[in-house]
Amino acid sequence: MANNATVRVTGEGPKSPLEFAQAGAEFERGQLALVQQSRDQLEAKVKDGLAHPVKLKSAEAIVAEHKARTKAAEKALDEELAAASEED
Amino acid sequence: MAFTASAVSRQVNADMVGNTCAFDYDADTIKAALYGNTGTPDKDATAANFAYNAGQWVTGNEVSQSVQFPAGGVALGSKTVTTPSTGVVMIDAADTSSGSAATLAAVYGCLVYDDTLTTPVADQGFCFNYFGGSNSVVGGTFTIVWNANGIARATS
Repeated sequence: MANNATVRVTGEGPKSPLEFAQAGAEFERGQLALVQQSRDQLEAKVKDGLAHPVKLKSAEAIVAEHKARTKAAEKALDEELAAASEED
Repeated sequence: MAFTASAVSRQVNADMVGNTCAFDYDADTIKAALYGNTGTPDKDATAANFAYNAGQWVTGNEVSQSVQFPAGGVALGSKTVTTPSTGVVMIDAADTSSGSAATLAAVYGCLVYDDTLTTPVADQGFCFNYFGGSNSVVGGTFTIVWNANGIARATS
């Protein structure tokens, strides 16, 4: 059986574009670390013969997807920083 | 009809026991994607209809926000498979959070699915978890607090 979960909401309030971009970039870096960690675990299992190598291809695709998303988030942050410094 | 309860996919259990899917909770990338109240989650749906972006779980029913809680969901961290008491197997993870500037409205529950699996269907769902009603956040952090009894458990 699956169990009902609940939701916790914290830190609500208006965010500047810069804060939004920083939050997004930080979030994506954390996500990428988790995805990479799973990929490493899978690689270790394949080496030990506990998982099929074909699964690694899929794991690589997942990591690649997250890397692209992280890069996009960091690019958005750079653009926001540049815009903020121009305003100064 | 609506999102009113939580359940594990009947089909994923059959596929694991029958070696039709190589579900690996520890090493696969497991994600939670958020959904509103459109459609009715069905624990008995086929594998083809119990997967991310299929059946009830199409992106049209998903609640997401680019970068903060993107479409496709968020990867679970600190995943565990434990045997906490006699006859019980529990799967769990750390509470799952969005970015800290998320704006999401009318979130009723989530689909927990395997983002690594491609067979018998891509992104096969494991379970869906109800959040007890409508939940929203405006410019903050949205955290799924998993139940003290885990995301799901099996008893014998």
